Amino acid sequence: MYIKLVWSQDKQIRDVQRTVEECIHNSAITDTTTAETASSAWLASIKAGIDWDNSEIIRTVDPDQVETGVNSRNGSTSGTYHNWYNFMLRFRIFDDTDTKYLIQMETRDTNRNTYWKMGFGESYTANIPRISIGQADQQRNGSNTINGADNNVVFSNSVSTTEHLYSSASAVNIRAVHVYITNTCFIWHTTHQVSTPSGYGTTYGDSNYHVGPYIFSQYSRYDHFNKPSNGIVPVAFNNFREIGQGFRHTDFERNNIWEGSSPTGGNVDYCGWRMMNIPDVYPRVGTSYPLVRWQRCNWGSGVLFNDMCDLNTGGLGNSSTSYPYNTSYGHLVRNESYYRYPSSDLTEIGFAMHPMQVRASAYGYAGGSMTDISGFYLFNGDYQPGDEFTYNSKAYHIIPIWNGYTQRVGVAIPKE
Amino acid sequence: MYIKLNFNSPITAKGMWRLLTDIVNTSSVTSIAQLQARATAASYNSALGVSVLDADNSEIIRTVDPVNTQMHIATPGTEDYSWDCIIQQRVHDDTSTYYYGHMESSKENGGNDDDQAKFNVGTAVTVGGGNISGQSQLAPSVSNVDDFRGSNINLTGQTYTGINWFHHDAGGLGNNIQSIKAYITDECFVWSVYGGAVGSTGYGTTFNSGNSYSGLRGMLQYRRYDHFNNPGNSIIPMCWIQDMDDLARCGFGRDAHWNNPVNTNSALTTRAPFRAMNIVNASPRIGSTYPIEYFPHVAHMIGMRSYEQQDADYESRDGSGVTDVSVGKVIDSRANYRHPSSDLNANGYGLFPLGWSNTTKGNMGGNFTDITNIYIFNGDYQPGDEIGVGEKVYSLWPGYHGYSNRFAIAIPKE
Repeated sequence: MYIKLVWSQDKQIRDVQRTVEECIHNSAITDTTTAETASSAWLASIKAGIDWDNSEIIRTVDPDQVETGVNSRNGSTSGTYHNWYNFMLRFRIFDDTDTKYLIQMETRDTNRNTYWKMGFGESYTANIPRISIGQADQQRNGSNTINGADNNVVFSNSVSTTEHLYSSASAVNIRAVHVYITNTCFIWHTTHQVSTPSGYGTTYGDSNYHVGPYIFSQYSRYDHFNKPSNGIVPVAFNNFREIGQGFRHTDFERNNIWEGSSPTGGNVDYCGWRMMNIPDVYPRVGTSYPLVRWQRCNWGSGVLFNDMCDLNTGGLGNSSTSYPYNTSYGHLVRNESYYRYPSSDLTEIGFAMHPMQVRASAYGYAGGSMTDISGFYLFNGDYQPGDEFTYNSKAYHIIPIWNGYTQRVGVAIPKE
Repeated sequence: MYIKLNFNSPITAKGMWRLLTDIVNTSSVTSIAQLQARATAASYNSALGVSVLDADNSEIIRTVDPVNTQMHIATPGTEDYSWDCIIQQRVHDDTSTYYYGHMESSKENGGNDDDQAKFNVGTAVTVGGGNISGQSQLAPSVSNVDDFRGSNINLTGQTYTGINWFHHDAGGLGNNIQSIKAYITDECFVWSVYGGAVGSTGYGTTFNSGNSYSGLRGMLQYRRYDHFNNPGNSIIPMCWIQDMDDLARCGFGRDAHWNNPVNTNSALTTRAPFRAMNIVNASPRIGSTYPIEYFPHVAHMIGMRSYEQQDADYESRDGSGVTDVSVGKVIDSRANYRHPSSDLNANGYGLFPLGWSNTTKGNMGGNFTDITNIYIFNGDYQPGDEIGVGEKVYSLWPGYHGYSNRFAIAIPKE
């Protein structure tokens, strides 16, 4: 499901959450026409300012196995908790539908600072609470607590951000949101302060204007031991780093990315990706191969990964005859102008669509492909944010990385 | 098709190629008993070795019959050291396209008795393309020095000439073969030979010697990874194990092949174990010309590790800074280090897909294992050990440097 919503006025994060949640939850909403019709029952303050002409909803691939909910966490109409909201998505694993995991976007303080939270190992089996989009703000659904938490679904394993997704400023001036959600993935991106038909502004690399994209995706299982019976949840997601920064340019570069899956060193905040859990299967003396949770990991495509390669500069070995055993590798992406890839018949030049894969090779874990399961690609070529193109009979929309489009890389999401 | 032939006394390389040619071209040879019947029916000359075959310790399995593979044997001269053996195979996803391997010794060119054998490849042949086995051949009934020579078939089109494979001089492997192993399907042709006394497994105790062991050699097709790697661009998805300049007789599996990266940008092209028949130089560029290059050296890939970046036995796991490489060993030469079983409750061995890449020329490459079912084994073993995985049985062939490094090539017995 593809959702692009543009507003002509600043919106609060809770309004954006409730609108997006309603569009996903209400299966009758398949395009902006049906959404606009349905909006007659929406709370006036929520639907105010929606630019239906420049918005777009496509539900060709229905995320019908995803449970959704937005709830006021406390139900207070004023005071400390009145802006506390939870936007929750509960997914099932593609090959293990009894196993669920939760993605939460929590607004958890008076200033609306908003954080991501992930969980699996569910102890709460009821439907996740949601308030109707017709209900007034600060109303809530359900008891004050779920499993002892403040209206939060509790999982036995969870991890939360230390950095904001939204600050007090960016949580109240959202002008557009782009969402790609299927039964196996969720991609979220917002722009702020300025309304444009494309839903993208002109300022990048600044979380006051541009937040995300955040990618949460299941991936195919490459390793023979990666299977449901070993309790492995094949989900990767953008690491929770500096405020508003999702998939970003430093994920491609030599600096700040190489430490990846090192079990002993590194800085967890710099690594671009994490996995929900993996087995530590590194060859060893002994027979214990424990599961490791929330492991930071590396990403790449094909044979080029950022656990040992900088993905945008390459590392050619010495070309002389004296160095037959140098390392040598090419570029996964080119950031320079005019560098082009060949078409399949070699007669034309074009762009690259790289499958996106994750792995943690320091643990002996080959990981898998997010693209195989969720259909999005890494785009490399000249483009403008929001550009669309057709590739193998499927339309794609390009979301720029957090640093923008001048690096010539973006995330190509299917419009379906 | 799996072939293991042990001999009670040595045969020559010329005899070996004559024997393999007749086995491949004769579909009724599905076992050792059938080989012996064929030897009688075709009046095999003693040079082919069946008369000294150790039948109890030999094996032929033709469950997967290479029905679209043909071989041809001729001799350019009436010496034990001269032969021209051609194998013809066709591309798995482009069945009108053939390629050829040429095992030859060039005594006819006036060389010495210790002329070295070569392994060459090409995209076409001068005679009988598509039907080389239908051309006149050196019959299995005549001796190695018979004057009947068969049709002279040479490589043409795009051709690559090897450097050398093994020697025929005194003590050279070419005169002293006591065990042959081959695995031939319509998508691959690999072999190894052992010279000198062998046990029931077909191996002796000496490795790391070109006069004792040569393996793994041959040609392997691969599954294509890149969108531009397709039949429409005339890319033949095959790599072969090349003769190497510094230790030509070794084949795949010398220590450097396990423990050194491969510089695909180096002008010294003869240290990498694999070359590709042809690839597109698809590295992103300014301009619109992406030339097809023939016979580039490429880096092999074991599991998730391409040898372009590091060898598969390399690790750097203790990164203390954010810019440190953090990767583990894919294969492990250390004693007692084990890979997990699929349920994580026991330890065992590693069985890794084998592939290739050349990202310096924009190629993610391909996967040999997907097409040939050949894997890289990592664990404690003895040469010739067999393992069962899934519904297949694999024979473990050591690399050139032997088995003590715990690496092997796992060959399906089918």
